[in-house]
Amino acid sequence: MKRTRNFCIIAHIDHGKSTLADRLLETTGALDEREMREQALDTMDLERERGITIKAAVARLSYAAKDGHEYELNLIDTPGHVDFTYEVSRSLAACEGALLLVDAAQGIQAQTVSNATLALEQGLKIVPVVNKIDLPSARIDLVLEEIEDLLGTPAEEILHISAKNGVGIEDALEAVVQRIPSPSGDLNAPLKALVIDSHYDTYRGVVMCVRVMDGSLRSKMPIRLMAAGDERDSAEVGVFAPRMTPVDELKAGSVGYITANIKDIRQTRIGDTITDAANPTAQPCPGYRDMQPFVFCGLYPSDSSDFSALREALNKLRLNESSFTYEAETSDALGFGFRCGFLGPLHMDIVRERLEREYNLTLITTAPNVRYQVLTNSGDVLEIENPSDMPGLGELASIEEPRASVQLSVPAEYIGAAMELCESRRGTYRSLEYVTPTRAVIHYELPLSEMVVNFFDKLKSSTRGYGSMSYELIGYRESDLVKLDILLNGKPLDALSLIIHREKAGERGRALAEKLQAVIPRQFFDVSIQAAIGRRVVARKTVKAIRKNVTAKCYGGDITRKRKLLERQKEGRKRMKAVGSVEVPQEAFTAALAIDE
Amino acid sequence: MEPLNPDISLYVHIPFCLRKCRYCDFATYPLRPDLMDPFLSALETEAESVGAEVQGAVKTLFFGGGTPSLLDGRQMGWLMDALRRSFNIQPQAEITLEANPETADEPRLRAYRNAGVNRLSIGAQTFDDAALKQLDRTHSSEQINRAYQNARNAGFENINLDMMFALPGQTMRKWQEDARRSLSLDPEHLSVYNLTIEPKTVFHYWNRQGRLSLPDEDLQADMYEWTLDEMERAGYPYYELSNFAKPGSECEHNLRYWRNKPHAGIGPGACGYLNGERTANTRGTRSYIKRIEEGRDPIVERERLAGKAARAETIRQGLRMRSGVPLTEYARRYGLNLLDDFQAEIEQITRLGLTKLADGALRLTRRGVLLANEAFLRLLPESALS
Repeated sequence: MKRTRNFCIIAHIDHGKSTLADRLLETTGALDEREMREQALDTMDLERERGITIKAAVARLSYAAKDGHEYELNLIDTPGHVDFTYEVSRSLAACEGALLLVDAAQGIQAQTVSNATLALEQGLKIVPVVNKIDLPSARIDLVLEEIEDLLGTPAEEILHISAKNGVGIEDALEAVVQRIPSPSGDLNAPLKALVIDSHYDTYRGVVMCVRVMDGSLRSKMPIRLMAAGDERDSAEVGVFAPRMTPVDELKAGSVGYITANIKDIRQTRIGDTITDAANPTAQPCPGYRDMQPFVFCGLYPSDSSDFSALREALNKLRLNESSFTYEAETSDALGFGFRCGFLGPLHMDIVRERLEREYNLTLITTAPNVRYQVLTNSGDVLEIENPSDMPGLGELASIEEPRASVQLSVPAEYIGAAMELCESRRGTYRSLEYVTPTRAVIHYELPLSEMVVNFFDKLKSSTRGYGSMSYELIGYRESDLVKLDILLNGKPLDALSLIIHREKAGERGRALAEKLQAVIPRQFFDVSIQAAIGRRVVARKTVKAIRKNVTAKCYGGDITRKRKLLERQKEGRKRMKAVGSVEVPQEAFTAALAIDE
Repeated sequence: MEPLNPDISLYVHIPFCLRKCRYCDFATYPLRPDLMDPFLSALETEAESVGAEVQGAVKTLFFGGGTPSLLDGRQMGWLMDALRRSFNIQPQAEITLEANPETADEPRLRAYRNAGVNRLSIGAQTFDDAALKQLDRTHSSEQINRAYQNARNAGFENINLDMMFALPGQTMRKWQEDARRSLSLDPEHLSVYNLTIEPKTVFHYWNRQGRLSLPDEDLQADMYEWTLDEMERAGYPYYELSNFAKPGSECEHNLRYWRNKPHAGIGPGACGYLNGERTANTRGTRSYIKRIEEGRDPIVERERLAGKAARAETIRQGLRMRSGVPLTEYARRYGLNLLDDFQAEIEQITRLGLTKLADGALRLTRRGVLLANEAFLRLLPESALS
């Protein structure tokens, strides 16, 4: 245990975490050059493309330190975006220290602060590292000051590296050995191992990444997953070197993996504790939380014959991704689809993109919403995840909506823009602190529903890309919410119904009606578009009946070409969805997502 | 079943233009005098080989382009002789040539007339000089008038004017003026096209940039309806969706397209429909010449519609004509009752008010004339190809 170090790298998106991980693997020879791929720890294409780490991964490195000893370094990669705060906290719980990576040009960002705070709360030793010192735009002195202010680390103890160019990598490895404490833990106590992450392996079933806190974990021993309440025998234990390599035993303080013939990834919950079923520990690892989705939307195949393909894709994706939920639902307009739940808005984007890209599907996403708590006149409390389940106005007593505490980190000149954004989203101002003379952290409380559409993008664009954020949920509060329905010739377009604050309903209704007027093609009859709260119409538009659709020229050379044009038009019409007798193109269903606040 | 190629139409494509108009997506090629002779001998070669395949008599002949009137009188005479050697061109055949006003001088037109051309189609497009400029046409309104007089002087008794409406910035009043000017010349025939923005044209690009203020759908519909009525009043009832003629002066060649009759096409980009097969030649002039010179087939696309898909095409084409699809004609051609054959489709488009049965033929209603594509869309069988 004395020669073991468990550490992670925490950083804001794009501050170079994955590149540093690559260099550490390379420098310690964990992967030879042939095996070395950029960002070896990120395995999904999407992660590579977006430059973010979605799921944690672990690598064991052997490092010959300057003190002459060989150390076992377990690098635990952490998910790098705002919807995964809980997963980050479980990864941190497996470590004794963290390299806090800060971009020399961008300085401290919202996630730097929130992750550093999380790490300090867990009692981790933080080693600050300034990365990208080779950038022409680097302003190292200023960044050093920011770090001093945040952590109290003296400037001379802050490392300077360029992960991209391999500068300062040895120093970082030495700092891990010298400054981060070795793990503690009682080898003779009953087994207690923390589940950090899990993934599905075609041959082994579910593979759990674990940090052994006490005791030891062996193959073919009876184990219990304490939160899941599941007992079984372990199959294989091993380490990530960085490929999976079986070992006889994982002792207290070490990090590795365990398999136990588990087929369903939902049985392995991040933060759960594995113990010896024959000699269980009295106390599980602290901090376990049941992960619950917070953001919901309907996913429908744009071609309704792809419904079973979508189900198949969701089943397969679920093998590796326990954090989203789905159940079949139907929409009058869109047919069969799934109501899906996600940890947050970015998580939703990622899952949807993976479904489209990896399973070659084209999907219609309905307007996302959060989970509401509805009190009815008969005294029942309902959890509503779908606007169409909302009880009628007559039965409704009150609606509560989830709220988030949000930290926005912005350069001083964009404070106004960031606050304006929060105010426009029904935010409640809490505080403002200057981290440095040029950068501030603004605290707001926002209804989560106001953050699910275009909030991050808007923050980015109104701060020229320099703004960043983190958030956590802080509970429910009553709010004056209404259900806004869209009707075409009197028939509700259920997929576009949404729950919205009363004061915003009129404006949103008008914007939706206008957008629909622009995308719904003229039909044989006038199409009236209404936005309504209950029976009260708040906006109205009309698409006039079609008057002319005729091809002027059709001579010998045109016949085949014109027929093909007609065939394409017909194909396009087939993809339209019928709402009553009105044919509605796919763009209409994403209209709600495209409306700019 | 219909007999194979009893008699045919012949289309000859002359690809050259002085320059390409901004709305045009036809197979055209800037005039290259050095390519003219190789092109004409390639045409002669193709005529020989197509002519050898076709037994039927040529009932109509059409020189389209491009700008066929870029051929001088001598070249035209030579070409007609070449075609007569390869095809059985009937003495009474309608022979049309498309002419652009700036090339239509009297001696040249007289030479065409002497070569056998008996119908002239003048590409006027509009009498609005500012609009002609925007379309990048190479002539003025005055040149249209002159070309028309030259044609009459040269002895043409069957003249068409090509006109366009829904031009950028055009108002109803401007179009009315324009249409009346074309009528005032008293031609036998008028083709009136709604300007269509085709992909890969300058106008398409300008339109995407928002540089063309095109009349909206309602104004286009108003213009079209006014045209249908005004032409009728002036003695030019429409006989096809874009074509108006004094009774008896309908274009025989084009009627044969709409009746889905066999035709041969020679020249770059020319299309043929022989023995139930649709073909298209390569569009490039140089690649056309090269293929012919190397003894290769200039056809690059072939498609054979069969069964219901072919019959649906006959109906769609036929509905373009005011006379529609006569039930007896359909029964004679296919041995089937049209109303049984397409019962569901015809019921649907009739219920939508697009078609009606009148005088033993299925025809478009007035509403159907404006919404013809809506009827055609519902007359597409699921699998079009055999």
